[in-house]
Amino acid sequence: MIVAAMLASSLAPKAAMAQGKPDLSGVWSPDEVLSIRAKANALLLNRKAAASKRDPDANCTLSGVPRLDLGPKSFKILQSPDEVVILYQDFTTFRQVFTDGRPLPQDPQPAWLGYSVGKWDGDTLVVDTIGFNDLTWLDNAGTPHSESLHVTERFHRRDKGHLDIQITIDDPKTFSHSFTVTEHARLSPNVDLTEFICLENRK
Amino acid sequence: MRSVLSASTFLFFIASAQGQWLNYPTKDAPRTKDGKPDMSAPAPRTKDGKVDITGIWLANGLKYLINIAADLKPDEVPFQPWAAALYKERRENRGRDDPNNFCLPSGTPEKEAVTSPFKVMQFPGEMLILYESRTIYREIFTDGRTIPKDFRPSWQGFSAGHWDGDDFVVETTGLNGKIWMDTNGHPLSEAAHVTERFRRHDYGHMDIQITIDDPKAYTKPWTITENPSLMADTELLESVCEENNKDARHIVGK
Repeated sequence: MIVAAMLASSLAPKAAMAQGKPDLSGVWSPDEVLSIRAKANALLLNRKAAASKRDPDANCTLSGVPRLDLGPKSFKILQSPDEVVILYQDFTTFRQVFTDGRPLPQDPQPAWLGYSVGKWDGDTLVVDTIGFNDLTWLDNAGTPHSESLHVTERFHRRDKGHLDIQITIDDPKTFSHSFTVTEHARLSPNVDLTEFICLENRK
Repeated sequence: MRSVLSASTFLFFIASAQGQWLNYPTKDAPRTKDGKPDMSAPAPRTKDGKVDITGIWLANGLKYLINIAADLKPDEVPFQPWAAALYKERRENRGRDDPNNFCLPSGTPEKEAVTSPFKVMQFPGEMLILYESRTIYREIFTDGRTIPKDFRPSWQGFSAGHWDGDDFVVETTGLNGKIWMDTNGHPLSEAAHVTERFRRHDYGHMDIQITIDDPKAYTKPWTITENPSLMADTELLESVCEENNKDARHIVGK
């Protein structure tokens, strides 16, 4: 990262919410399209199963987690005391992250984007997500996963203009042990998300 | 005239299976003695005194999804001649070309009539609507911004909202001209200006008064009112049209 190129204002102190928690709100753009394939490959229990198949996104279903975080498209975070909402430019879809203390569901119906709850660990929002179907890719490179996937995303707003997302993949049916990658995103202050309808762009 | 369900109407019944937070109690809901949400309790208000329209809402049945003009007499919809002809054609071929058949989005103002819940959330600078149907969102900006010059016309358009007394008024332009306002096929052109007035009467009930000002498709503005109810103690499900759209090839129309 070229720190010198960043706007001085983006290095200003991060905003705080009324409850004293950091305010993660804003439109964020990943610095680069992050592939987790390199780390994942070494841990795959069954390399054959990981042979790349047709990209599920080509069916205009709902992509997946953490794939939606990894770019290239932007996402927007909106934050209320009980819930953090992540709006994705891709698919014009969203995730609800409940921060009201409710537990993760037990044996949930598998879903494309899973079920998410969040809690604060100091200044970091820790989001736990389970309950995935096994139809999505973890990243654009086609890294597979099972329904046992547990994704932990640690959202940390380093300063006003920078958000780090430390993503831990835990899927004992697919990988020999869990592993972590870190996504860096920067604030896009004067940008709105635009409607993106997958079907209209499917060629 | 008796309404005929178009085939596409049934697409809205494709529901996800059991979700997980469907019985989670809604925070701060007023309760009756038996513990149920008190739907006739006063409408809550936000700290600044405005009516709080947040919550999960659901259209009361299929009425306005099938026909947005269900409460009007047929001759009360002020069609331009081409729009009348198109509407007639769509009725006669039973909605064969309804974008919903192909998992394209519902546009403004159809979304709130879809018989899947939608969740209204309020944040500084915007009202957000999360729709269970298609797992899609709509942002309604309340920070005074106007439609960007380079706005690309879309299914949901560009929406700005403001308060008029207790009404939350949403003005939408920038629509793409492909929208069917209902499964009957009332058209909406790219010239449309849609005004929605969200008016929460009490805890459990809201009116959405919708005014269609679309001089290209209609000779004068016209207004209808929908009446969604609050769904307490639940949460949205994930719904993915393309996951299981087996219907499209059967919707051959006539």
